[in-house]
Amino acid sequence: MRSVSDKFYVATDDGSKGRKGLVTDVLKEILDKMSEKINIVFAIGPVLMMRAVAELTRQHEIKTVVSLNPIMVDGTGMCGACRVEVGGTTKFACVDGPDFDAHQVDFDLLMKRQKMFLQEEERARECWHKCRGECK
Amino acid sequence: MTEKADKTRVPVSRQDPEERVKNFDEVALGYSEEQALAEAARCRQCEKQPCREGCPVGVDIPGFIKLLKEKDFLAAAKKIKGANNLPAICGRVCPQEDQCEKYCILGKRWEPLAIGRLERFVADYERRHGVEIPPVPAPLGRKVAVIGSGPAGLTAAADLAKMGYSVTVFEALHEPGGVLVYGIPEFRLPKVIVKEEIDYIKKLGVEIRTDFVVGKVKSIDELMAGGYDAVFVGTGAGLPSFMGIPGENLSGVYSANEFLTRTNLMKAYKFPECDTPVKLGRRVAVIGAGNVAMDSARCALRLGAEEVFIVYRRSEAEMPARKEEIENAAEEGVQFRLLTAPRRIIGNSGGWVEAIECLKMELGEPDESGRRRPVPIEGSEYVMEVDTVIVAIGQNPNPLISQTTPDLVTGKHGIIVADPETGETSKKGVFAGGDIVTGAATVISAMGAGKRTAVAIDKYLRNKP
Repeated sequence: MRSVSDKFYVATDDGSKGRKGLVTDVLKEILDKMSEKINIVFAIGPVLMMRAVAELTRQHEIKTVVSLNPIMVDGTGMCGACRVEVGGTTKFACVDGPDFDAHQVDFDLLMKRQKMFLQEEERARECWHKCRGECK
Repeated sequence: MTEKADKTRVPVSRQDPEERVKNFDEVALGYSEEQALAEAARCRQCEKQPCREGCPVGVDIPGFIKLLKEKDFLAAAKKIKGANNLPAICGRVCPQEDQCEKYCILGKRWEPLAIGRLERFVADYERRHGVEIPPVPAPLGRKVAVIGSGPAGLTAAADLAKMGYSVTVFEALHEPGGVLVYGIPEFRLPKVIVKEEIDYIKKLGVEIRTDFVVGKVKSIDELMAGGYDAVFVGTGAGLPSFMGIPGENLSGVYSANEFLTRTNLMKAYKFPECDTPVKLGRRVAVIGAGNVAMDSARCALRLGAEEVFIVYRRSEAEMPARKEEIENAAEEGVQFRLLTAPRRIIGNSGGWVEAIECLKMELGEPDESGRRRPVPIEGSEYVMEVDTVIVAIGQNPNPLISQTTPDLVTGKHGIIVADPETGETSKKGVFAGGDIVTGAATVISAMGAGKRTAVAIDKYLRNKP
């Protein structure tokens, strides 16, 4: 990323690299200073981060694109598991996205749907720790 | 032969409903040799052969039944395979009652000949006794790309390979078979049979490349630039439709495609030994009454749901599923809530399905589909408590190919416009057939399209310098 960036900022939760803090802390500083005009913001990562970025850029009216990561089964348009709501309409992230206008995305719904299989994910993790996949 | 035997078909044994609802094993057990011979004896070998008109791939039905009667079962299998590359599949999932059996002259007075069961018997006999691979002609030095390994693609690929073309099938998923593996459940079509029939097609020289999403990994133009002389698009009707009612994105609402893919292809009933889970509540509503709805309802029972409801806005007479599948579902305990239309899905604070609000309907005048239009009865709203909803109201064509092939003309709902006889599209050298052209239909109609298009591709390539 550094090699393709004019300016490159790193933030980590524990401060092990770059500055200690959230992506949005850095972004907020940049936007508050606004020494030069920011035309567009891209956010790719956990939903909480993408939502926080979207909220921040909304105040500054900067176009923002997020890359959504709902649960998918086939990822080719076949199952509709990756339904997200953008601007009040249902979209399939796999074939209609995954990049959408962050200010139109229903992040609450996305987070709820991402939790649909939490228990099963936990069970699969336990199973893996027990047998390292040998039961397959 | 007694007159009674002439009138009624030899019944086929099936797993007991109380037992089968606890397993995913095949429900219909197929004819024994004696049963097959007794049923075949009912065939009159009539001169007109009306049954052949009803077969979308043109199987020589009287011909194979004659050989069956003579106990030359392998020759009978060869006769079927002259026209149909997937007989063990078709013997199980074809709606024969609307095709060959519909035209059987016995059916004018009595029960028609059980052609589907006989086809299955012959195909299964051949599977057990060694499948013969026909000699493949010398390679013509021409390459054809087939996109999608469902019934249309597999049929086109097999026929083109038999003509001497080098065929590569590109499949998006990790296993070939399309709807035969992700959609139709094990208890109706065992996956080992699909695998064996696909192995047969591979032995004809067809190469199958899985995990290859055309439209993402490579476009059609890139395939053609890479040396393919013609392309067949058989990508099917893969994009599930939803009703557009409030609450459809609640957790616990699945498309039938998602639910069936998790269950059939990903074997969610073996979770956590298999990686993909499926979450099912105690009371399940399946919206729709086609074969996919019946498959979903019957899978839900097998996965342990206590009560499963088919919710359908028209009446029994309009249900699009095969009669046999509706009977199977009813026997297994699926409950039918007919003339009932969902209005909204109600969720709890965690975003999970809690109930659906329905409206009672009555039938009015026929609509453009020729079926009587359901009309809401005012004030008839009521709430059904369910914790899982499976939406099985149909599929639209997958958009990946048309999105990435700008010169391919598409029509209503994104179908690819193609000549129904030849499969020719608006793009030179690109042909299409099956559900991507017709919208969601049957396995055999897709196979018929694959077959006709293989002939057209052959003609096109012979005239192409």
